[in-house]
Amino acid sequence: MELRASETKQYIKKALKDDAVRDAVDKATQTALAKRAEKVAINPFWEELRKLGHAAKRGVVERLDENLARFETECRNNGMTVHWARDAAEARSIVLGIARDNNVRTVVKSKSLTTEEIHLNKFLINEGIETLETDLGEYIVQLLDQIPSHLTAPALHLTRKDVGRIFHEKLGVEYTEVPTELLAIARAKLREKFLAADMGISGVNFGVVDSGCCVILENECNARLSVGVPKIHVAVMGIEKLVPSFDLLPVFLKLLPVSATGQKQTVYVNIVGGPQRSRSGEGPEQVHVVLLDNGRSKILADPQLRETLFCIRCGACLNTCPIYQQVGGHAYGWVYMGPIGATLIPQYLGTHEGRYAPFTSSLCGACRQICPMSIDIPHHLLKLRNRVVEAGESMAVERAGIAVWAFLAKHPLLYRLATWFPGRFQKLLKGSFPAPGYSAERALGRFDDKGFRKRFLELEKNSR
Amino acid sequence: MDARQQILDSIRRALETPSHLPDEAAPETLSEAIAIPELGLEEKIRLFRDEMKAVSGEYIEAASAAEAAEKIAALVREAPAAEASISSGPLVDAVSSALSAGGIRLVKPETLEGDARKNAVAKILVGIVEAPCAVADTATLAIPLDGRSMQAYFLPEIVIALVSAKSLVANHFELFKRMPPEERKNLLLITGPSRTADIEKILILGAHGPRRLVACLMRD
Repeated sequence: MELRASETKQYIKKALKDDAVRDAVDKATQTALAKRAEKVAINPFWEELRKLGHAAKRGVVERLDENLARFETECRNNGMTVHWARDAAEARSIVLGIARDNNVRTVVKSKSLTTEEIHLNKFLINEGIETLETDLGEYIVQLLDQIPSHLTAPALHLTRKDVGRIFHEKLGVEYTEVPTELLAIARAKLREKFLAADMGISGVNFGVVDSGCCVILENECNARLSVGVPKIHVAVMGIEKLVPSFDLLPVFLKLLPVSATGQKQTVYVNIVGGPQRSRSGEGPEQVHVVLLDNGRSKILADPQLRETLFCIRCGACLNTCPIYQQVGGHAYGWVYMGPIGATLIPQYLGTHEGRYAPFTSSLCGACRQICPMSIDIPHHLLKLRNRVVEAGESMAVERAGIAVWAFLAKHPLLYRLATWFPGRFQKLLKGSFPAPGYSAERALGRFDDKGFRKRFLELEKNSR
Repeated sequence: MDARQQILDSIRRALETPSHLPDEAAPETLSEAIAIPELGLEEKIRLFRDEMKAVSGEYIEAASAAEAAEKIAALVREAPAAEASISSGPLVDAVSSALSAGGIRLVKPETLEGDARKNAVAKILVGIVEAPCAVADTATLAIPLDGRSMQAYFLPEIVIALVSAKSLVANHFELFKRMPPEERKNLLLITGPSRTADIEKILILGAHGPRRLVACLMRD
């Protein structure tokens, strides 16, 4: 199922009518928020960690060229092969090349938004390579041919009944909606695949610059099985995923799990710094790191918006966002969703394809408050709204409205008449003015009888 | 121009414009507040035990290798199982002969090669392993990939991990500070049994890895 960010309005309409999805998203986001709050409350140094995290990311991003070059050298010294990909197509062809060179027929994948971004699964499958998502949520959405609806909880929009039906239809197993039984089915199916796979593909949560290693966090052990069993491990990493050193890695290891799932620590932290087979007789004999740009260096060029590259993909801003809570992740039409997605969509996809995304926000500021990296998302959304408008991509009705207002604002007499009229005319109506498209869902507020100008003059007079 | 050069050039051009982010009083080093706390051994043990339980792991203690072997043998039999895969290292070596004498058949992954190794370990219900180091404030086991076979750590359904009390560190900051740079580069950190909450946020233990993780703390 191909989604498009330019179709966001349709997806939102559909999502708002789907009570089951809204209930599922509401339940999941509230649970995640409560667990996070519990862990933040018992950590007296939370704000300290956020500051350290922000400063560390800033340091890395603002000298990204040097840091990437150092990271590459360290990775090579550790026996890994480093590849550079300018865009999605180049990254896909690098991964395919590695697979072809090694006669790879089966691939197990651990959850990675970066590989979702480059549509790696479908590409490899079309090239005749069996490619299986192994995170339970990702496995479920892959069976449905969907993309994840949340950064860390891919199947958050589905109920146990949905999962039971999907497994029954796609895997030919007897219907059950008991979560433990559903997990047992997936575990048995995937265990065989893990043991037989020729290659494992993962994303990277953090690349440690001074040591040249990739850090991958997870709970299910599917990443461990993907990076620690097959003979080849390919890690696809966005160029912004660097952290400076092992001294500061704990800051991120503390911020990410608490923000994502309310855990003090994820069950597994896999630190991969080179092939192991020659030493231990198991695991990968080749480790490849694919460094992906795909628009990131373009984002870096904006001195304000480059802060969006600090994101560690925890998903906390999604959970707390009143818009995301109502519409879920698919409504955004891309692999990154929620408040941070709304900043990334127009930056990666352009202001035409991503013209609606910066407006899917109430600008309430909850995202900034919760962000472990303290990214000023509302501020960035405003800038991106501006960019959309300047590119002439705003809606015609909005442009017309602003043009009328601008004209009136320059003609005080006309302005006075125009603002006097609605209040008077409203008296003839029982309710408020009908506003096409808006009034179907809610009532437009009533105009003030006096109007702003009159009230302001009165206020000024009284204050003298 | 190759991809590497092109990406680096484009980054350099992008960075010509200085950041518009407000200047922040950025802490240059770790502040005192989150630095390594001075914890006594008993405090670290208490923290480790409590945190292990909080992450749905199990905790037992042993004052000697003989006591650990006895307790582990009982766990294997209760599993129920008659055999276990066993990793390498001084702690497991100290209990292995007593386990064998107690009738537990031990399979050492290192004695098997390639596919035979992973297929054999995956079929055995229990793994007996050791963690050279552990973090008290999160109950995290730290295992460097130093050439040992790792499969007994994540393929079995039940993993029993021996931890020496002396190896406990307060937190991750101390862990990375103490660990030799070569060791921390290839490292597996384990905090509790594997789990998922991907179906309606319901927590289920035993996703693709172990369903039970029992830490056996050796005091001697």
